[in-house]
Amino acid sequence: MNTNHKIEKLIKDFSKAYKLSASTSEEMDEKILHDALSAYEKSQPTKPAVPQPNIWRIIMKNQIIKFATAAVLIMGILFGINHFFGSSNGTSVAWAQVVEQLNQHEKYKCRQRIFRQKDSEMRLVRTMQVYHLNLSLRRQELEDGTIHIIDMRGTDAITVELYPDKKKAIVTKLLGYGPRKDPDIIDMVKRFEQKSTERLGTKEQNGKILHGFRHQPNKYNDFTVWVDAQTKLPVEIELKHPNLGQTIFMDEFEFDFELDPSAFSTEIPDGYEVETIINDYRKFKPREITAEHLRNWLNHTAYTVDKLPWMEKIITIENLDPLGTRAIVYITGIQSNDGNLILLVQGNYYDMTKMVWIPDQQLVLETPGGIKLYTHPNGAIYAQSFLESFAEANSDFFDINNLSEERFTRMIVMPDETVLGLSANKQISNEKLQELIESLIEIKAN
Amino acid sequence: MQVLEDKLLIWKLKQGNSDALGRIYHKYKNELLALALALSHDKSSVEDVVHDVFVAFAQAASKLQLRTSLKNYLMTSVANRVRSIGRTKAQAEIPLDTVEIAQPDSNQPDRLAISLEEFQMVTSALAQLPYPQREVIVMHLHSGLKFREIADCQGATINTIQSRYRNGLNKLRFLLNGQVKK
Repeated sequence: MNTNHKIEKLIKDFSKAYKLSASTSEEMDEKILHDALSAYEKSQPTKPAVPQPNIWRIIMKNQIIKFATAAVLIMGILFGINHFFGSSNGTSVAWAQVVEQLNQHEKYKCRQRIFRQKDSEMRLVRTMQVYHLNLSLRRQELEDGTIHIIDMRGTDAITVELYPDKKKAIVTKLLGYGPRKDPDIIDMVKRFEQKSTERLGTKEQNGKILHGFRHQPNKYNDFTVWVDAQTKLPVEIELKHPNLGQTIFMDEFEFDFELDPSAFSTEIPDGYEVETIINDYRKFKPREITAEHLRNWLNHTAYTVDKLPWMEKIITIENLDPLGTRAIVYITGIQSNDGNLILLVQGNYYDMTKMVWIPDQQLVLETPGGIKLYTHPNGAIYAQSFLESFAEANSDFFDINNLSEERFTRMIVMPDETVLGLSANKQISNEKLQELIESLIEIKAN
Repeated sequence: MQVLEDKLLIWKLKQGNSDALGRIYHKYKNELLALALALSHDKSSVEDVVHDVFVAFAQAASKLQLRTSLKNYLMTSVANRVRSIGRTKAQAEIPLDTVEIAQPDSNQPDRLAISLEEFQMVTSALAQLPYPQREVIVMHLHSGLKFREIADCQGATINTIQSRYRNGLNKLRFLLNGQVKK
């Protein structure tokens, strides 16, 4: 080996060491993903061609992301106060007093308003009262009467959205997502680096003297905090996100508020129509299941196939949706005597109320019994996802090296509006397709 | 399979599935961070580099037309960002005494193929290379990019890139003379 080769090897070893040691922090992950998602959402010109349940949207919708925002805010408060009292007046005693005060007030409520920039002016987009019982449990009351309860104390986190005017509740269970709470904020305060802060002087509000400070820990966050000199607790906090054109404003703070514990209950009041969404964050292991299992877990009609002469082997597996929705899907694999693999996909979101895009697709077949077969706008990729997923779950049943360029997908709409995805590795004649979909039979209770 | 998986993730992203964004981030974040660190030796700015690259990627995702693999695209973006920051700071070469030695995780000594002493030695030597040479060497040996891909990234000809690589290696050989195990 000549010297250049030795140096190349040394650099490669050096790179390996770098790769082994480089890892991002949770805070960094949260910050980057939050900003990237915001940028992504803003850049979306139209709705997705194929709407799918989406965990990020669900999280946004269910305000969990706001939970994170609130956590950042609390950290921001403390970080800010660390600066304001520790660095600007040089009295670490005062800073310690503030930290001590906040440490004794885990329970607090405040009004939170979100403003977003539109046409060069900031517009109020949401106002809500936020009640933090602790850092894993909170209640949000929106102006339109909607109530959110977010409980992240257990292994399975849960969010409840109550719409009292419609008597409707949406319960989202996030299996394996919790327990979650903020990191040790006091420890974080101690570790926070000293940087410059700008004193804004004082102002009087409701007979109280407030001290104002501005702090920009980075280009993404611009804090203005007004603190009551007497209580050493925040009275107003403004957090600007310049890159998002967004400002979060918190005021009307009340620490150690009184509210009946039932206000934080995730039990649904009587008389409410409940929609339950389950998102599974647990490490999922695909497994073979029975027809009975499939019937029990689907919230609509479950189907299996009546074995036809050309079908050699049929199995059904339970797996995470390979399209990344965090939903569970049930995939029935059929090996045919001509070497093809056909997959039938069922899941709780496979119905026409959710897959509203299907009627816009091309109707390619309709049976006398009223079963319709539509094209899928990205059928080859959908088929690839599910074939890969199936191969990963059971490589004996299907070898991914046999993935064919002929693969395709059709969406089956049953007369009761249940939807099944049909993907095949190779082309199938229309006659055979018809024979297949007519062999679908409802799984009934034993 | 990697390329297929990435194509699928890009497709999902274009369909409006933002979950794919999270999956891409978690798949490549550490590699991007390591590359930024190897190129810049500046721990204070590497998180900003990865942040800016990933936010820009998310913003452009719906219109993205990749001519290369997703991994190479992201790696190239990191290199471009580090270079851009370097220009802003007028940071042509880093004096040896200002180099902060970013050490590998000392909790994993058995997993490392390089001793801490060698690690510090290579870090110092790389930091003394002119930035264009350092970038070619790191991108080729660290990230596995081909000279053609690096040429596209740097807006230079492949001959220039190969020449920078050779010159960089020669300088490293000079700097590490006698320190490379025979």
